[in-house]
Amino acid sequence: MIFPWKNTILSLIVMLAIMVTSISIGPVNISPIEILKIVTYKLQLIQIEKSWPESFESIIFNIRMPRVLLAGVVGLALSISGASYQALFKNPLADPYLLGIASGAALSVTIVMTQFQNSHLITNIIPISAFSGAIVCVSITYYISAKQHGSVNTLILSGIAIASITQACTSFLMLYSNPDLRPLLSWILGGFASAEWSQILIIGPYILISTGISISLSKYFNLIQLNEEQAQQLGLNTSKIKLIIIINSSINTAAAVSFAGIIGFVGLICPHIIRNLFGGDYRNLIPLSGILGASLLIVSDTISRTILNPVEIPVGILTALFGGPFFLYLLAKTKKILY
Amino acid sequence: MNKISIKTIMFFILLITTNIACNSITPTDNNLNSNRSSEQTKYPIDILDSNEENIRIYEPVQKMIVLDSAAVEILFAIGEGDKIVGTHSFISHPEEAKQIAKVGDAFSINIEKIIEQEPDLVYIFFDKFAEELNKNNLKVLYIKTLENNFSNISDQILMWGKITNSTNEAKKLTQQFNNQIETIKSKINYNNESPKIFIDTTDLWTSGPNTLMGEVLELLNLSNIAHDISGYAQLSPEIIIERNPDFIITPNPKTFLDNPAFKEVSAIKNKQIFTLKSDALSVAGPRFPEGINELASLIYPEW
Repeated sequence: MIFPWKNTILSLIVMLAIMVTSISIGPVNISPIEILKIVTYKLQLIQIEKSWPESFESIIFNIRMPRVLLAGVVGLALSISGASYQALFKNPLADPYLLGIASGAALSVTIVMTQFQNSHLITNIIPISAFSGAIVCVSITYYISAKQHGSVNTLILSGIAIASITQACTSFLMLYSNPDLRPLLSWILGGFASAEWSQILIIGPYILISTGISISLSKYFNLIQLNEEQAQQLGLNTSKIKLIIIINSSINTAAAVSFAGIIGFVGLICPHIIRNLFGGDYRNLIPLSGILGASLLIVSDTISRTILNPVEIPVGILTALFGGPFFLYLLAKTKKILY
Repeated sequence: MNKISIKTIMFFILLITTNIACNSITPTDNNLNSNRSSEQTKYPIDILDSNEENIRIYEPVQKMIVLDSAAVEILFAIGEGDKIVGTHSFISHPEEAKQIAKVGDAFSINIEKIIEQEPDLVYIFFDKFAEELNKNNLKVLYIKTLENNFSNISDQILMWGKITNSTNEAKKLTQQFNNQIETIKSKINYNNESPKIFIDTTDLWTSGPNTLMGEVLELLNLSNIAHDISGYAQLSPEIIIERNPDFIITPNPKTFLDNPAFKEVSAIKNKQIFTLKSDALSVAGPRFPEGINELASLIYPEW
């Protein structure tokens, strides 16, 4: 298997640089030198005298770091599941949001949040319920689009229908089961203001494992682009591969939605940019768009927490605001979509 | 309640007869704060609504739809609660108010149910439904109370007194309200350094200085750490840590207690994180001073 080591390592370095920069930017001014001091002090590499307020340590280790990491893993998950759905549906417009999969996950999280308000288990139940919602929705979409032999229109239309149905149910639940809908509303808008290490510990493993699976399956992603017969002649059990992709990508989407809410466009834009830059080979596309997604969401979150200092704006609003026009530009510019 | 309504009807009859007898030019009154010696409202009255339009009321209102919690509480407090024939679904106080027919909520109104009640007046505090109500020949009074402040609350009480011809009760209630506020003021030493406070409504959303809550904090000599926001907004967690509030008021203390990021904040270290038990501070009505007292008793132990 040819893995694009050079590109991956280069982009990983860029991503790391973005992460470090994001940690040093925030509404509270802490100079990079001070951050360096605080980190070395915490790691106890060398003895240095403490010359900063206690609050700076909290801000760096308990606010910015988990935030940047959470934005990173969510970006990675959304982008890779976007690329995988595109492979599965043989359609560059597939995206966890356009297909109604994220809305399905959001609906089941809403059900859990309105029904088990006071349960202590809630943070652990959320990813599982998000997954069940996602898998139901993607199965319906896939079943309908397979019946129509993978027609692009059917796929997008059924995605829109599923998104409308699930969003209607979510709105209904929000209006009529809980008089205080602010927590839900702020979760649905999407954002990382309440990022914590514990959330990364809950969803991180799901995302890393399913990312690993996607990368190791990426050569089959290329093969299922061929038609069914050709793939079978090559000895490939396409239905098994497709089933794995469905489950795997739904885990990824569900994990992302669990704590970050609805953040659109990342899963659509990142694979597109990578396709334009490096071509449509999924062995490139999966890891690179994952890294791009992580970087993009880290940057967006940094903007969302600094631009209106001291006020936060939900990052989902930003990605849609900037992602939408950029996507239109890409559509207008590219003569043919490399696919 | 019954006695009062009989009394009002008597007044009403008396009023009409005197009006007919004198055939005088009826005075109109825009200033709701005027100190008139007469204890009777002289009809018709004109009320300036928030669209700068005069709403003329010709006789004491007997049946009204009131789509606002604060107004419902005021009406019950001045003994005119029995004239409310419809309200919205979020009414929580007083207990009797829960029996009133529900004809709408924040997102929709049931226009058919409203018409069925044949109200003399429909009161709303946001104008989303004004046009629809007007079209159906209902008398609509729209007063924007979202940007309320203390003096507005007493103005509102006096206004309801006039509308229902219970000026006496309204004046009494206003006096009581103002006395309560004065008592609170007298207990505060404004020369002391003001403790820093963060009011979390949920998920770090908070109120700025130009809100009713901002005004309450000022009254209690508390320094709002969200002093540089306008209206309501989500404050950055970093800023909360940096500004280090001495007190945190929140409906979900877990947001702060379970997150290690906040463990060095004074309010958490000194266990000064509280939840308000009553909803008095969220309704700008007669119970509002109660809410202020509840908040004050959490901050000042000798309160």
